Amino acid sequence: MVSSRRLIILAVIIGLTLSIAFARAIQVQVFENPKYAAAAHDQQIETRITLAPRGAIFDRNGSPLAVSNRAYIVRVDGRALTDTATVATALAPVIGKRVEEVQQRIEAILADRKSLTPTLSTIVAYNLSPQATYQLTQTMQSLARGGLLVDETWARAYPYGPIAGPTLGFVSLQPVGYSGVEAYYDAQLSSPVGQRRERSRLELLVITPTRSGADLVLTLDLTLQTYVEARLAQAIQDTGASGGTIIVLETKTGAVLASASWPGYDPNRAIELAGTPDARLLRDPAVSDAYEPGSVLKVLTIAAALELGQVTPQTILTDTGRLVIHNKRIYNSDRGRYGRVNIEDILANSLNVPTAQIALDMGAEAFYQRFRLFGLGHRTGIDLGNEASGVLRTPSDPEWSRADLATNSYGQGLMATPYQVINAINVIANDGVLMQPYVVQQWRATNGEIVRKQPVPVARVISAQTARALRQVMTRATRRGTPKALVKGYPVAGKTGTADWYLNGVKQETTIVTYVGFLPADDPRITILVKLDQPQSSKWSAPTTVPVFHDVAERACQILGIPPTMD
Amino acid sequence: MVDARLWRRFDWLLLAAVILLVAFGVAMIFSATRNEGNPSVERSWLDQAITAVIGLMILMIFSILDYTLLKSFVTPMYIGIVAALALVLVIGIERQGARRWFSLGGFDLQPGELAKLALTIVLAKLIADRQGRRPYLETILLSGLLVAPCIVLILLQPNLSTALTIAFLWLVIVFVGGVERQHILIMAVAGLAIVLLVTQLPSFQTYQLRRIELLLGLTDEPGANYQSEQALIALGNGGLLGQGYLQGQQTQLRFFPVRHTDFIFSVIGEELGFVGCVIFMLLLMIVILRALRTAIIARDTFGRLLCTGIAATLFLQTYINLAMQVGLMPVTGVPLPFVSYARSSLVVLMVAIGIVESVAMRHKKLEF
Repeated sequence: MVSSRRLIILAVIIGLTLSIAFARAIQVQVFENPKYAAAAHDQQIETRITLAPRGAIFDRNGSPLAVSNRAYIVRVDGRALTDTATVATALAPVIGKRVEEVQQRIEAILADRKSLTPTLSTIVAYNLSPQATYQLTQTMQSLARGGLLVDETWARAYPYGPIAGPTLGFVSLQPVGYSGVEAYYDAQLSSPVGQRRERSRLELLVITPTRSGADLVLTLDLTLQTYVEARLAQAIQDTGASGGTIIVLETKTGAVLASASWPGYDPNRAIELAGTPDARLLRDPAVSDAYEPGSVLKVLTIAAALELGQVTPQTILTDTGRLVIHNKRIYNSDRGRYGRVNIEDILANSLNVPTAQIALDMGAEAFYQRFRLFGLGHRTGIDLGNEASGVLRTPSDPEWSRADLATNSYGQGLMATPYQVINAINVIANDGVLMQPYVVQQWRATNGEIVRKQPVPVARVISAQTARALRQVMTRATRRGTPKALVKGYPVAGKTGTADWYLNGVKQETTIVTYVGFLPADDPRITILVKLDQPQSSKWSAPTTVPVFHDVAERACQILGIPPTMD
Repeated sequence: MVDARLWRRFDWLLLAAVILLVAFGVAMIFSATRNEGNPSVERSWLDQAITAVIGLMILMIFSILDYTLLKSFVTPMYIGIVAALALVLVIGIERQGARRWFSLGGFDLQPGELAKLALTIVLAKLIADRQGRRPYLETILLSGLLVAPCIVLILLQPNLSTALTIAFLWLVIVFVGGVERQHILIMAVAGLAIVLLVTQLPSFQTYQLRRIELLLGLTDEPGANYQSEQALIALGNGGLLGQGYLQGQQTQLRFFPVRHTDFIFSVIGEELGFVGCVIFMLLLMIVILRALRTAIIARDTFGRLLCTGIAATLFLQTYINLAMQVGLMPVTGVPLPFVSYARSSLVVLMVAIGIVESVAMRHKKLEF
């Protein structure tokens, strides 16, 4: 018989070894219980995000300009996806891309996930329709492959495509609004993120509700907007211009009836464009791009002079044809010398020298106080994203000189956005009151309340009498200077402007031309701006912008039902 | 037939511990699989229970039979087991890169499980027969030569944990069988050599080493350590008293895989808490120590070494499984004896306990 002492040694070894496992069990279950219970709790809690649709956007007559549709987003699940070739084959036809392209994208994402700081988005497809998503999940199931996560979301759709695109703006996948109405009203349009938290299938913990975002009604008139865009496209073709803007304002309220810019963009394609050089198109030049408006602003200088009593419509001034201030020579655009002129002559012939003389006589303080009242140099407060404030140097700026006062008087040496320009001229049409332009006239708040926006008068800039007197002068000047602007049945008042095109600070041969006018001039209802960049057919405003103004004015009166006020 | 007086020597405590382990095990298998959604998995508890009942009958048969009868079958047993281990490499079914199983019409037989018991018997006879012969080193080498082909064949499957169990089994039997002090050093060197050799195997390099690295946190791959992490969370989530039977959230929500087989202890831990774990551990301890007690009181060396080998195997399997579940060892497919859903293991264990009972019943010479 072998000795049993060794068996006792063995029993002791066994007992000691098992007590290691025993001790570890005490550690895990008793002392570290809170840690593991917390880990278990974390695993069991499932949070699902719920999102109600973003608010819709309608034109003033109820046509839908932006809506939210049920859509799906597809992401790569780095842990579960192994067979990239098969998954790419399933995904490619659904999103209309080539298999290799999709596979490359998936593999790039998978490789990226392995790095410590992943940078790529895991999204491989977005805005998929319910049908396409169903097709995809069915295919994946029949192939017995996993690795794609499908999330329910909403896709923004713009039923009229590029119509009013820059004004509407666009939304990212988040969704967050960029540019235009989508950006300015992002808070109202957005739906609050809802949550459903549950401890797996055991118990429902919390539901945070989501609500649909507010629906917006715009001041835009889809019919007029559509016409204006077509007319702008025609003008671009006719003049060979590189770009342009047309804005139609409701004179007495500042409501924007139409706003078109060339080149615009289709907000349905905004997300695709975002990563390309064309991303620069994703803005609204009417509100974001300041330019040198030129002679259009002479009207403002003369309005200021009339208001101050410095001139009257009958005052005779002397045009010397040449003015030198601080070594800067100022000429009329045709280098002519007109001699004795009144303000109607100044406007009809767009004379720089007497306008500058008026401003110099007025003095810098009075001049700039009035120009700022007209809304230059600061934002109009229009309810669109990314508004630029323009540039208006005043005597307090170190770079300002008296030469600036002279050139500013005829709209040079300063920068303004198309909205600032039309809004300033609109003061004269609106009996001297500066309005805050706006594009959203009402919205249904998330609590169901309908909020109707009231027009906002910003400042009285000139008296009603001054405005009326100036309108008469402008009407006569328009008849003399730009008769092509006249619309049958309606007196029209307007002013041209031409400024040099600068590229990187260097003056170019080409110009920017503007025309702003309103009608009926005796009791204005609409104010229209037409701006063309670098027209090729002529470098002057009258032959390029005025026919466009005429057509838009005539059509707007028809569409809006504005009755003629004369034979 | 068996003398009625023999039953007085029957180890009822051992049998009771085994029956309790199996019964509780079946209950835990039910809890672990009832939400599986796969009918064939959901009926695991029933399969295990049926196997246990058959196993108990086999246990009784083996306890009634005189264990010395086993001596006569040693040669065919050894040849049979080597043949089976060789054959499984050729016609065995492959799962997760390992060929370990014969598929016998719905019942998967793992010859590696059989090998542990068969080699215990073979080694016990060899060493018992060579008692008193010098030098003992010769006995060590001879027994080593018998074990070596089996270990090599099992490593080829590959199945590291079974190979190590058999190596350990050999060491224990040789140790208890009377190795001299100076040979313990030789055995220690041999043991180290085996470990070093094993870690050089290609299958170890790619598979086991990776698991060890994961355990030690030397490499990190999200999700790779998932099994053991999840098992540990379930175990720790149970706390002192557990979430209650059928109430373990991690278990019932199926957060961790192979709950009813290798990770049954985590289910026990979550649902019955530390108290439940202690009860299971004590029951297992009772079984192991009762087998060792039988070794001590056995009437001959063959019986003593048989019980020693069985106790050692039981201990090692228990320890590997527990250590794996509490995160002390890498994940390896070793079931918890009597408790895990593992039918071929259960049958072999019942045979082994039957042999221990047979030794216990005959521990004193009886007058006929």
